Amino acid sequence: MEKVYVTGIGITGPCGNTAKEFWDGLLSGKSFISTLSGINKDIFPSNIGGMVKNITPEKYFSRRLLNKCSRFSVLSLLACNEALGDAGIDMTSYDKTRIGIFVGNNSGGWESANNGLKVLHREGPQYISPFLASNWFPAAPQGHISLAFGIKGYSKTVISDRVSGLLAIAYAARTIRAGLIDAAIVGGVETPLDEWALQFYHSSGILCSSYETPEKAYRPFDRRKQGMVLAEGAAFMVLESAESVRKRNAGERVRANIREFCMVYDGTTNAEPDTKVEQYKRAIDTAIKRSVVNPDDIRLICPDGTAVEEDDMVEVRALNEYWGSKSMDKYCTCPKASFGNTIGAASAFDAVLSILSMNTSTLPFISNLEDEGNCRGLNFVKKENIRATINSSLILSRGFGGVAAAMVINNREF
Amino acid sequence: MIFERICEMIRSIGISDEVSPEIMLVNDLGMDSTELADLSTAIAKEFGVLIKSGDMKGYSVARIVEIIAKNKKGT
Repeated sequence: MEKVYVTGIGITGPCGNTAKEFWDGLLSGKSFISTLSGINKDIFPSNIGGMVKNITPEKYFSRRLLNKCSRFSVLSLLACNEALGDAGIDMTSYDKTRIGIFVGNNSGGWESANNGLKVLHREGPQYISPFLASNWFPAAPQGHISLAFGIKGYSKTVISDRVSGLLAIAYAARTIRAGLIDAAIVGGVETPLDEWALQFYHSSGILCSSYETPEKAYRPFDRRKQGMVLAEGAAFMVLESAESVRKRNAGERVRANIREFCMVYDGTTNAEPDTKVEQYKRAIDTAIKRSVVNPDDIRLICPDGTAVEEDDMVEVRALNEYWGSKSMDKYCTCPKASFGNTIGAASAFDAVLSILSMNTSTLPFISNLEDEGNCRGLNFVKKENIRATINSSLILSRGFGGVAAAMVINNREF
Repeated sequence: MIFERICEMIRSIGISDEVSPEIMLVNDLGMDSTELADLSTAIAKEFGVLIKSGDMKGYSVARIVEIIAKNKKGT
């Protein structure tokens, strides 16, 4: 299997506006979930979330470009800019027709659509901003990234609920392996904290609407779990073929390598838990087999962690059934408990954070996990961060429509 | 007065080039189709004059000012 390398990472998220700031914030153990200003709790019982604050996009991009963007494009541009800088790719000399863009997103730029609708009904259709036509839909960040960096290679945006980010990374890796491009900027982005988007997620019934404090609301795998808390953010990485890394003598920049991936469907949205476990296990088994890694070498698991009892139980049971007694040999962490679930970007965040975990030999603990209750059987990282050498990690993701996916990512090796 | 307002509208699109009456919207300022449409919308809102963005492609700022002066309400 042709290796695909991660040579750069970038994050704009609730814990910080660069990968380093985010990582330091996450490891501090602080919660980054708070009450959303301007959101009426009587209408939206889940008026909490992980917000991105204090961004300065005008430092890096022209006002002319930023004027055209919805918030999710702006967050993407910032994370991509950091990832390309981290990779050290010289965009003036790299063949831009050989770089692709792959973005995972679920809900688009609803705040732009929301504003456009207000104008439509208050002032009339002729006064709607023409930028709306190209900035509200999920593929908008792909276009704006292309405009900002002049990237012209094979590109795609994928939508598959919380699996979107992982699917984008898998497509990018496969496109590089197929030889269509030499490098890709890939990741996930979501800005679901607008009233309109919030309403859609609220109607799904999986959001946490009853909590002691915002900081203690999101409790994946804990006995007192009460549902998911949303967050906004973007997590991106630069992928390259071995030849691309060699050609620009960037071996020292390699952070990780993307192994293989598997995505499965329950076949029905209302599958029984047993069926879901079977399908989830199939995703794990197939991803590991395709990756040609020894299952014993995988020592870090990053599960989806919706904090809904049945969903968390499916994850715990699938991992226990797959590894049997060896499941306790692996560390299991779920960093999103500290900052919220970024839906279409969630699995991209997990992928980037697992790379940082492997690079720094540090595993962030799961906020609010005090008592696993029915979710026993996995070696959760609790109460404090752990130092551990990890060479291989497994990223897991699930979503509406019965979709589930698994990906193996290995630590540096070039 | 109209000229100054057009300059402000162009600046609010994020274009920082100096604007003079003879400047061409596309050839000199490099405005793209969405930026032209944005300018068209702003002019319609403020002056009640609809200039189709497609027509603006070959216009200078002076031509825009002239059309507005000729067609705006109350004149």
